[in-house]
Amino acid sequence: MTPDPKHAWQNSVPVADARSLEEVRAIANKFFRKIHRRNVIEYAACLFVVVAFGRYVFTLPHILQKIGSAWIVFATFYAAWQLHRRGSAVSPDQAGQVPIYQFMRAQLVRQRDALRSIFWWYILPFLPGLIMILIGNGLVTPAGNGPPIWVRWLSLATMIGIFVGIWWLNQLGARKLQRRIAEIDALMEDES
Amino acid sequence: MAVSTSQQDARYLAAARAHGAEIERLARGYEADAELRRDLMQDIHAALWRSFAIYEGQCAERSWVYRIAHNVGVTHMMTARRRNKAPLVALDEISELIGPGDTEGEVGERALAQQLLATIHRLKPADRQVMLLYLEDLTAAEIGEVTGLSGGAVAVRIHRLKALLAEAHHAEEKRT
Repeated sequence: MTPDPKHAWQNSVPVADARSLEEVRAIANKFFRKIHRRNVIEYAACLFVVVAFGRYVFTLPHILQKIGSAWIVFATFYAAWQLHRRGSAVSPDQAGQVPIYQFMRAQLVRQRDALRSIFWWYILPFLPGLIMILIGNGLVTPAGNGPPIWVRWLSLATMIGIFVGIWWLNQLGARKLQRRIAEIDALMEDES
Repeated sequence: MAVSTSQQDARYLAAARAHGAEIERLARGYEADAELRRDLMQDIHAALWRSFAIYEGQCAERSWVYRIAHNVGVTHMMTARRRNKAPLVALDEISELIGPGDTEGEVGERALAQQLLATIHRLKPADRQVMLLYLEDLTAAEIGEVTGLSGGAVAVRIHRLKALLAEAHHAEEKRT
């Protein structure tokens, strides 16, 4: 006689291995430790920028350089806060509250929006500070003593290129996420 | 209202006892490698335990367990896909179960379970979820409640699945 597929499937693992609460709690704590470690790395990177530019506030000679450096320090705090607010993944234990694809869609939309708006919260906050530092650099260097003009233009172009590159890569990522969102929308609407 | 730790523990233990075997079968559907599956099972149970801190009967316990477990499973699968790029197929792209059939009785049932598992491993996420939930005997409405797929999307997949299983049944009948 041909076996019943549902019966065959359910009989493939009829009884589960028992797990102790201690074991499960330890694994759950490991998850939180991983998140904590990631946060510490992010904060350490911020601290590095803050210390470097915080020092410039006191050591650089021109007022524009000082204001620009202070601006970068605040921009770093702002970007870190935004990254935390917009970018951090929602823990899977929240997933029971809504159906699977609704939960997945909400996460993807959140990530897509963070990538799409990267200019406003990750690039723009740094620009005024960097521009002030560049102008300040130009003003404190005596004519003829500084690097040639083409070197200054090259460093400006490199900075702009890096920002454009960051923006462009994030837009590519956002488009990729949008394709996945569209796939989920098709699954959730009555059209398949 | 916050759930106390003892309530959380008690709810988790009850759910793990009631649905442990289903979770293990589900994990098999998402991960073929035994070692990696052990990690996946741990992740599912950890997420479940944490989830019972906020469970207050928002939906049926079974749906709650399946939603969490499938979410962890899909995330695991998508991460694994970065290493293993073998193409996944939709249910309508396969005409028969994957893997060899076998003989009667216990051996036949085991062989069929192997074929089902091999087929599940080739499927795209939505088809995989529907097949896993269908094999656990959930109705189309229950599958919709767990996954969030539209009624039409679930119905089409169950229809294809039934055709696939019927085909396997006919092939087996012919052999015997």
